[in-house]
Amino acid sequence: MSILAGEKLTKNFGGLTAVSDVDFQVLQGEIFAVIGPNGAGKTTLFNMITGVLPLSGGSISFQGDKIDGMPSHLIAVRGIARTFQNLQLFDNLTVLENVMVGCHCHGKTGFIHAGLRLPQKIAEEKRFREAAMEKLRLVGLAERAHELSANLPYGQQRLLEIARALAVEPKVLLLDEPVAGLNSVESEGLAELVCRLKDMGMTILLVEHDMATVMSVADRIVVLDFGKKIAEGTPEEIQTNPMVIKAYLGEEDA
Amino acid sequence: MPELRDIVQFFISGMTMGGIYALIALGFVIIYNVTGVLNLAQGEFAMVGALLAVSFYKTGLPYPLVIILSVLAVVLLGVIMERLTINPARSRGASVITLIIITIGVGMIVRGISLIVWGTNPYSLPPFIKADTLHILGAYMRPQSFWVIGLMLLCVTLLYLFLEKTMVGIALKACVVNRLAAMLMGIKPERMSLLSFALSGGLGAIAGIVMTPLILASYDMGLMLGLKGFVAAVAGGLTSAPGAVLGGLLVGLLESFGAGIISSGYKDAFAFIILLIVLYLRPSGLFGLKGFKRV
Amino acid sequence: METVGLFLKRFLGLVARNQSLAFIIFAIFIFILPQLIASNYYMGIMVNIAIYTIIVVGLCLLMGFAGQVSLGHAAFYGLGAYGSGILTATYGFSPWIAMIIAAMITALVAFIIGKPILKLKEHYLALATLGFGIIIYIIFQEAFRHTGGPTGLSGIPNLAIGDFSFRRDRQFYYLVWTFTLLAIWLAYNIVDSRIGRALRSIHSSEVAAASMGVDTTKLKLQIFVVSAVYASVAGSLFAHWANYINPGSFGFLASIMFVVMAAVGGMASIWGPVFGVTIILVLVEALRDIMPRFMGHAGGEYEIVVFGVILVLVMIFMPGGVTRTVMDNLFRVLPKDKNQMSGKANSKNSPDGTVKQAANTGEGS
Repeated sequence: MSILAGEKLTKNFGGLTAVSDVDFQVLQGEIFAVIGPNGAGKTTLFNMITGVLPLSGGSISFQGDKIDGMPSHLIAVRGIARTFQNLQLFDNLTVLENVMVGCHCHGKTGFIHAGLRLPQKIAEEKRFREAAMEKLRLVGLAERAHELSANLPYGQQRLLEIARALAVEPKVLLLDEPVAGLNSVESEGLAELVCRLKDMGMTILLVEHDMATVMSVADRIVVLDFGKKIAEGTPEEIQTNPMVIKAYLGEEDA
Repeated sequence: MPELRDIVQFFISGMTMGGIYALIALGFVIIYNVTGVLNLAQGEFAMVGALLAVSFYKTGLPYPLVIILSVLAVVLLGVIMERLTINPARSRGASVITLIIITIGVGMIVRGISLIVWGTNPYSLPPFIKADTLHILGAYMRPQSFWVIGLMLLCVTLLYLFLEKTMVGIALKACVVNRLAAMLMGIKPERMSLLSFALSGGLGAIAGIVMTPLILASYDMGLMLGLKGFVAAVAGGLTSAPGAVLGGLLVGLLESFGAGIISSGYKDAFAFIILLIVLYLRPSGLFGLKGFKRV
Repeated sequence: METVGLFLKRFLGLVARNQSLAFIIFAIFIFILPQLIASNYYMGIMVNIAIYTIIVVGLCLLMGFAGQVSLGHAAFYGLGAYGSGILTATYGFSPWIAMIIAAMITALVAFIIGKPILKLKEHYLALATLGFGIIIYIIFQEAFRHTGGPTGLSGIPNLAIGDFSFRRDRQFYYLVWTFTLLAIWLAYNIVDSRIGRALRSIHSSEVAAASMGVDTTKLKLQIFVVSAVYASVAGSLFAHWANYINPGSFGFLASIMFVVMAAVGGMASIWGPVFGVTIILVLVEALRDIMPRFMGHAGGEYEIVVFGVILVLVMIFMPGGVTRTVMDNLFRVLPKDKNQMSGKANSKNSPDGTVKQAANTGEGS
C-alpha cells in the first residue's frame, strides 16, 4: 500500500532543471532508496517533499492527501520527518533539548502556560523529556543527553538528528545521506539502526551515495540522473541495470 | 498643484542629495560585501571628511590639496578602525551583530571627538568653482550640484574599473564570492577587509566634502546621512555598486518630492517609508540577488 | 582567608547553577536595598534600571533566544509611554486601564508591522525595524496636537492603588521592581518550555525547526509582539514616574542603547539584561560624575567618547556579553551541573556572541 507518492515532479531553478518529471511510490513499511550521481537532484527531491522548496510542477500525496504547497511544519505534523544532508542540528541546545524540539508538534502549551508555569506545562515537559530520552536510548546517545549538541563527534551528531526526527513520531522518515562522513563501523551501525526502525513499523525513504549501505538495507531503489528517473527496482535489478552502470561509470563502490 | 518650477527644483535637490546618498551607499556596499559587516559609522566618515576639510581650508592651503588631504585622512581613519576594532573582534569569532555594535561604538567615539574638536557649530566650505547659480526652467541650481553628480559618477566608474580590471580589485571581488577559496588562492581576506574600509572611508569623505558647500556641515550630520545611505544601499540590493547608486538617487528624489509635495516635517520619514515599502515588495532590494540557504 | 574565598566561590557557583535560588536571592536583595540607600538620587537610578531591564528582557527574548533583530524597539517603548500619557493626561483614563490599552495598541502595531517584516532575513530585518523605529519617532515629533510635539507631553498622573499614590521615588521603586521581577520570571519560564525551545531552535536553524513541526512564522510574530508588549509596559511605567515625556527618549539612539545593553549583558541569558542595563547606566552616570573632575569644564562630549571606547572594548573582548564571560570563568573552576540551561555552558557555537567555525561551506551562517 502506497503511503507516499510523487507524480511528475519537476523543479526548476531559473534556467536549471534540477528535477524533471519524476514519479515514485513508497510502500508502507518498506525502505525505499533514492540514488544517483552528484547533482542528480536527490536532495532537491527531499526538499520538495518536505515543503522546503516549492514545486515547479507535479504533485505529492501522503496517505492519499495532497501535500505539495503545504508549509514544512504542517507536513511534519502530518507525519513526515527528516534529517539533513549537511546537518542542521540546533547547536545552541543540548542533545536532549534537540530531541525535545522534535516533540514540539505533540504539545499544546503556549506562552501563557509557559510563562505562568501552569501544571499542563509541567506535565508536558515531563512527557517530552521521557519521550526524548526514549529516542536517545534507541540510537544509543542516552548518556550524552545533557551535553551541548555541538560538542558531539560527527557520527553521533548524525545519530542525534535521527533521534530528533524520530521524536516527531513520523509515519515516514526521510534520511538524507545518513552515512555521509561516517567510517565503516559507524555506517554499519547506522544500517542496523535503519533495519531496526523498519522492524518497528517505520517507512523509510533514503537518499544515499554509499552503495554498500543502500544495497544492504533497501527494499526498492529508484535511480536519478540529471533530475530524471532512469531506473527503478530491487537492489539486484538495479545492480545489473545497464543504464545505471552507465550513469555511474567511473564511480567506485564505497 | 506644484508648478513646473517647483517640480524642477525638487528634481534638482533630489538628484543632488541622491548623489550624496549614493556615495555613502557605495561605502556601505563595499564593506558589506567584503566583510559582511554593516558599517553604521559610515555617515561619520562623511562628517569627519567635511569638518577636516573646513579646518584644513582655514589654514590657507590650496583647495584641491585640502580636499585630497581630508580624503586621505579619512581613508586612514577607516584603516585604523578596521585594524583596531573590526579585525581583533573577528579573530575572536565575533558575530555579525557584535561587529555592527562595534561600528556603532566607533561611530560614537568619532562623533564625540568631533564634538570636542569642532563644537556644535555648523561650518561651511566655498564652492569648488566660483560660478553663478544657474536658472533652469525657473528653478535654482548651484553649480556645486554638478560636482556632486560628477564626482559620484567618477567614483562609480573608477570603482568599476578597479573591481573589474585590476588584480587587487578582482581579488576584492573574489573575497566576496568565496572567502575560503580566495584564501586558498593566496588572497588575504584581512587585507581585503582593510582595503574595503579604506575605500569606504574615502568615498564617505568625498560625500561629506562635496556636500558641505551646499549644506552646512556639523558634528551630528553623520547619523542621518549614514542611515539614509544605508537605506539607499538596501534599496539597491546591498550587493551591487550600480544598485547603490540607483538606490541613492531614488531615496534622494522620493525624499525631495515627498517633502515638497506632502509635508516637510515628515521629510526624514520618507527615506524610511521607502525602505519599508521596498523591503516589503522585494526583500532582496531592487537589484539584489535572491539568496537561499542550501540545506 | 582562603576558606572564605572558597566558600564564596562555592556559594556563587551554587547560585549560578540554581536559577530559582538566584532569583529569590535577587528579589530579597532588591527589596532590602532601599533600607540601605538613603539618597533619592540612587533610588532614581535603580528605578531607571528597573524600567530598562523590562525592555531589555523582552528584547533579549527576541534577539538572544529567537535570534531576530530589532533596531527600533524604542518605538514600542514610546508607544507605551505616549499611549498611557495621552489616555491619562488628555482623556482622564485610569492609569492602570491606560497601561493595558496602551499595551494592546502596541501589540496590534507590532503585529501589523511584524507580519511582513519578519519574513526578512538578518540585515534586512534589522534595517526594517530601524526604519520603523524612526518613522514612529518622527510621528511622535510631528503629531503635536496629540503628543505635544518636540516640547513633549506633561501632566501625566502618577499610578495609584486606591488612595495610595506612587508619588515618591521610594514608593515607585517597589512598584516598578515588582513589575521587573515578574518580567524576568515570565521570561525565564518561557525560555524553559516547549515554546522557548522552539524559539531557540528557530535561531539556530529555521529550516530544521520548521521540519520538526514548529510554525516558525507564527512563533516569530508572537515573540515579536511579546517583546513589544514588554517595552510598552515599561514605557507606561516610565510615563507615570516622570510625569512628563518627550520624543527624545524614544528615538534611534534609545533603540541602539537597548541593543547595546542587551549585547553587553549577554543576549542569550535571562540575567544578562539586568547586568547589561546596570553596567551601562552606572557607566553613564559615573562618567557624568567623574569626567568633569578630570576635564574641568564641560565633560559631556568626553562621555560619549569614553562610552564608545568601553563599548568597543567590551564587544571585542567579551562578545558573548559580560554575564557569559563571568559565568564561563566561574564554571571553569567548578564541576559542570547536569541540568544547567544550555545557554550558560561553554560552547563553540553560542547564539549571541560567537560564530561557527565552519570551514565546509561558503555560505554565511
